[in-house]
Amino acid sequence: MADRVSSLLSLSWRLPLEGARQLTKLAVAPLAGLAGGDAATIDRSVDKLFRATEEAAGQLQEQTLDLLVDTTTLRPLVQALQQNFNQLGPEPEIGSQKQPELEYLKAINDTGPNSYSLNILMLTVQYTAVNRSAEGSRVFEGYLRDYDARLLPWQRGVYLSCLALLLAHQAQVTPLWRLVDVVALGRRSLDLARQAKEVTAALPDFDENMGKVVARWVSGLLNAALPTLVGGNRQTALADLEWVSATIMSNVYWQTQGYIFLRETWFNLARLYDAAGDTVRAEENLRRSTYKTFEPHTTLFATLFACAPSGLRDGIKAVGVAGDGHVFNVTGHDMSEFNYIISKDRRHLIAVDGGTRWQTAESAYQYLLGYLAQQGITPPPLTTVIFTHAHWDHVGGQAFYRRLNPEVRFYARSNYHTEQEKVVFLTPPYQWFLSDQFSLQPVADYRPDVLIEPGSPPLQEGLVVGGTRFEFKLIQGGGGETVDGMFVHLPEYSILYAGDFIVPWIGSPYNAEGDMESLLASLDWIAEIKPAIVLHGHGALDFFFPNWEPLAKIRPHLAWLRDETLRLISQHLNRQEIQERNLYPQGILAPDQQEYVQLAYILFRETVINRVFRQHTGYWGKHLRSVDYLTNQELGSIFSRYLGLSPEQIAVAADRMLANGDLELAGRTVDWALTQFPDSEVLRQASHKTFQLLKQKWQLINVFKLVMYSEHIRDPLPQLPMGEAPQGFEIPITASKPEPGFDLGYSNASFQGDYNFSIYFDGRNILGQGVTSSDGRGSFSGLQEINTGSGQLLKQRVVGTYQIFPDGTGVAHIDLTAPDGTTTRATFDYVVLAAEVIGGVKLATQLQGMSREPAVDPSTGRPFDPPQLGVSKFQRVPS
Amino acid sequence: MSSALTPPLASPPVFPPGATPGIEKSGEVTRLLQAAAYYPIFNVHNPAIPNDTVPLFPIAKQTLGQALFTAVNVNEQLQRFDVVTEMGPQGLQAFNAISSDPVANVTIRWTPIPDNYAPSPGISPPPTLLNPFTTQRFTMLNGQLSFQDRRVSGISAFGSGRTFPIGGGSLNIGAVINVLQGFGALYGLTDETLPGATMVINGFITPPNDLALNLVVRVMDPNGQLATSTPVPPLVKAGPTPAGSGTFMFFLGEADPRRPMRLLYSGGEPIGAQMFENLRLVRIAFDKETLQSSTQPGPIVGTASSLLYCSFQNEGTVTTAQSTGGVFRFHDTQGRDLGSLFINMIEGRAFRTLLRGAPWPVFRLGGFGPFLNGTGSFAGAAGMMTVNGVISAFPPTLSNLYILRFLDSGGRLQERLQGTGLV
Repeated sequence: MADRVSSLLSLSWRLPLEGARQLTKLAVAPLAGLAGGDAATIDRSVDKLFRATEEAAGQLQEQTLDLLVDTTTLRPLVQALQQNFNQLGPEPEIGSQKQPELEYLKAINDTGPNSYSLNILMLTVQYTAVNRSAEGSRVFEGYLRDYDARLLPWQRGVYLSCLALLLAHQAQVTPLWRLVDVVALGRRSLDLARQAKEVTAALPDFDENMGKVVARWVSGLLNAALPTLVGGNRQTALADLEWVSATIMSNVYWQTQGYIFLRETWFNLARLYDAAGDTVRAEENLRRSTYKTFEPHTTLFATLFACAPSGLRDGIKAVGVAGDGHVFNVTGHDMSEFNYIISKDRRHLIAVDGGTRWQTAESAYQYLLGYLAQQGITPPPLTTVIFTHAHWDHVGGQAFYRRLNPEVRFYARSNYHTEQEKVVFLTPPYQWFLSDQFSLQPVADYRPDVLIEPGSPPLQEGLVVGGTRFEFKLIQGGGGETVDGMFVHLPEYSILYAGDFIVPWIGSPYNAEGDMESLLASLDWIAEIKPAIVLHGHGALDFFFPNWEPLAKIRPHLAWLRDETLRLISQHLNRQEIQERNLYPQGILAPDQQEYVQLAYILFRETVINRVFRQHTGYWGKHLRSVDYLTNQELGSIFSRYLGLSPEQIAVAADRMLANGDLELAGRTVDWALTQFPDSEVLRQASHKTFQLLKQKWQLINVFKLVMYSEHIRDPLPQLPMGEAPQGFEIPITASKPEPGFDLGYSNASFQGDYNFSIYFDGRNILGQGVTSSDGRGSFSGLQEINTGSGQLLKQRVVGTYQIFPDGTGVAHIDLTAPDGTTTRATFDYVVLAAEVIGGVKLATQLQGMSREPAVDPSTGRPFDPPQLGVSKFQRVPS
Repeated sequence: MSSALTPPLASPPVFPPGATPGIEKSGEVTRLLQAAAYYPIFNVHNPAIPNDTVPLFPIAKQTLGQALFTAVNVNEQLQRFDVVTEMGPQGLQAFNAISSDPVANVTIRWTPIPDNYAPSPGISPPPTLLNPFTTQRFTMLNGQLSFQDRRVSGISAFGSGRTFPIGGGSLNIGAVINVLQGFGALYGLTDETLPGATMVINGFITPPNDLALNLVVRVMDPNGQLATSTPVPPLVKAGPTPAGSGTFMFFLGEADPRRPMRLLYSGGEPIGAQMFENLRLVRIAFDKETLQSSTQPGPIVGTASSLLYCSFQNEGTVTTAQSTGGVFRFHDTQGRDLGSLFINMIEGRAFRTLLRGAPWPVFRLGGFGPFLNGTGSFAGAAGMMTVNGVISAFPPTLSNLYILRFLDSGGRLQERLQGTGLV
């Protein structure tokens, strides 16, 4: 209420004051010459005068209102809300920016109950990040209503918890003058959180869905944050958050999966204990959270990573163990993973990659020794190091291994120097990736002892070290990220060291590299060898692609995205326009894509578009793209010099943008403005708030943005302290067993080449025919003509992805685009009707497809009435 | 009807597209659907018991009556029918045999009907001449099938079907019969301890007297009251099916766990389903003394897929059903393709049935359709398919018995499959 009154009062005198300021400037401008001063000096003097007036009036208003509010009985509640809530400021309106990430996450959640809790949580994060929690609440209310009968207990718990979070956020951003609404929203959110706890009570404490953890975490956060007058119960909050902390911490593997919840858990425990006067526990939990004060902050919903001047890290330190106790994956010491293998004869220690710095390499190595000592294992000497590629963060620590054993032999792909020259020439422009202590010299000094190239013995025969066999694979183009990329395979354990071939940035985002064709070829090869465990160069990739299956599933989607981007580039769309299209293939909405793949795709989308765009366009484009070369300072002059805006006015505008979810726009605005007003405290605060929200928005989608935004405002997110004693866990093998059914020798390669096809809808004289060409790797394209029934032939472009299963059945997701650009999407299920073995490949010569949805009448754009389903028959054109 | 036997929700529900209520009960409902007693029987005409035609011109019964008739009062003895379908080293093979002794007899009034006529039990259709040169619908009125078991069990039934001329005055026929009542061991169909039963017919007739028909009665038996604990032994005194009967193969269609059945929605209503099934070899038999039935499933040897049009929201007891895009694919145990058969259920009926333990009513499904074509070993195959199954829309699951009758009048199939044991 006070805010509302304050806002109205402000408006009543600030507007006329602003008018007076402008008029004064106009009036005194002609005097500038007479006074012997310049116009800018006069302007600044006028601004100063009015700012002083404004500040004095503001103080007067604040004192007056305080007096008024004191007289009301609502003051305790208002105070409580103010203490716990971070008001974003103005009420939100529809923003100017499109939100394709939010749209995508909504699309994947709209298809039915999602079986991957992170997909549901991510949508919630996006709604809160762009301040659209009211809309999000409506959407989640709809999910709970529409999916009701299909929800498993863990899903119901997660949906209820997300709705509770959204309603609480809605309460948080609702102006306090709507106190009744704020209280109602708060109470409802607590009630939902309680329901979520009830429906998940009988579930295991921790499983891959984390339903119980999510429910109790949300209950804890909300009961801690919401005032007791609304219903927040501090004892419940304490019990829930202590349970979450104890549960996740009780098992090392659970820590690696659940630490995203820990920072906020500990911070809220710290605040609760602080409020209760338990200083010891308050300080201890604050230390664990890594926050410096008990002041509320813009909530980082959950953090996967730690980024600080010392470099990017996974959130915690641990050792993953696999391969019958011979394979060790040491995480959390560097932005890269450290991998070690103890040979079968236990006389050799073999490392895969060497991290960014000798210090981190030593830290990881010592951590491993500590873990092995705990297990009673004597480590053998390090004799062999295999480097997957020559990026800074994989060879930067090589000197430590040389020092550890001067006789150690380094193995690498023979063209490593090509990459080495590239990375020495240009390092990432942000220090918080590699750390502010990073030195380029060890990267420049890196020299492998054994080069692996086509025809070399290690490539042809494999490398056997102490009885352990390593196989190498060189993909043309390097595999996706760097030209010297190399896969290292341990066939005996079905473990693949994949390096960085599939980092979402398709190469370092700061360097000219990355190769989509090579990436797709790598994915094809991995789908052939089917490793049960894939260990990547960075821990987050292990999270999304722990084995071959999600890699195989995402392949057609990436190919589709590349093709679609190229198509739009050819139509002169600029990068921003392509990004805003919310591109996604229809097939990604299928239920079997929910786990891993749907979220992984959003990690890739923006960066694949960026890379493909950069590699296929010149430096100028439509709409005068990049034709000028204006600096931020020059752009900032628009505000100060030409619009005459004060820092306060710009900050108000930025605040409004944040309220509307235009976070990037606000970021640009404050950055430009700070070039003009570098000492403005109000702009610095606006900048901090803006980039905090941007960190929240991107924290789980794009870790590089998290790092850049963090460094930009010098706001670190330190690693969580998990204790000094090394801790290990067994890397679970999550690759599913071969699908039940029959392996009749079919694969995506079975649908390869050119096919004529006909399509018909039952009971209608509407026939179509077309021709399509398939790459045998999951993508096809072609043309079709449909007789609309009115004598017209409608031509449509056909683009799709497909998957053929070993038993000769399959599914295809198709986009049909008419000349006017309208696109219809369809999903067809296929069966191979006849096949021939040609060149060792079982090629389908006849296929039949059946549409999943009632067909759309091309003449009306609406489904046929009565409904009709499409059946298509394909006949292979002999090559 | 006992109220205790009525499931709590008898009316078809209305759900938004994509909704699959009851999904958590998929396993249980599938089990309930699969629980069935099968009665495979065969009808070979006994010249000693002639059927009685109903002539268009009664005054010329001895002359025109044999050619121009509007109905046949069928009175036939039925044999037990034993079908063993196997996957041999060379591919599918089947052994068909019929018992030498009758196990039941049937009386029925078989009547051609106009294409646009909606038949009903007990109502005589307008007189319609049988036309042996074109496909024609027919109804089967006053059906009474009596088993010669100890309890003199039987059923009364009503249904309809269609003729398919095959030359020489002969007609292939397919029919779907709804069982209305049961007696003796099948009394549960009357007191509703057995939820329902359907019969399908697959064979040929040469009016008025010559015929060879396969009849399969499927009785839903969720409590196993008609099931034997041990398999019914094969026929001891058995003979071959008559010439021209073709070769029958039985396959059990079950939900494919990798590709669940998908409901198809339009205008907010489910208009049918995309069906994916694994096809399993199966031997079904019954004891003629007790009517206890045994079902022995074998390995999966193929898949079936089709688009089924059937309004699952229809409040009526009987709903029409048909399918398109029907493909049956077979492979041997070594993973070699045998080929594909294209068959659509051109005519079918779905009977809404309450099933205790299932959250919503299920549908007994009967239907038939001629072979359209094939690939591989089945290229040029001719024949007739009948299906006798049960489908649940909520949750989506099914259990179907497919009866494939292979004809090979031109000898092409026989030549291609020489040595495979298929024919």
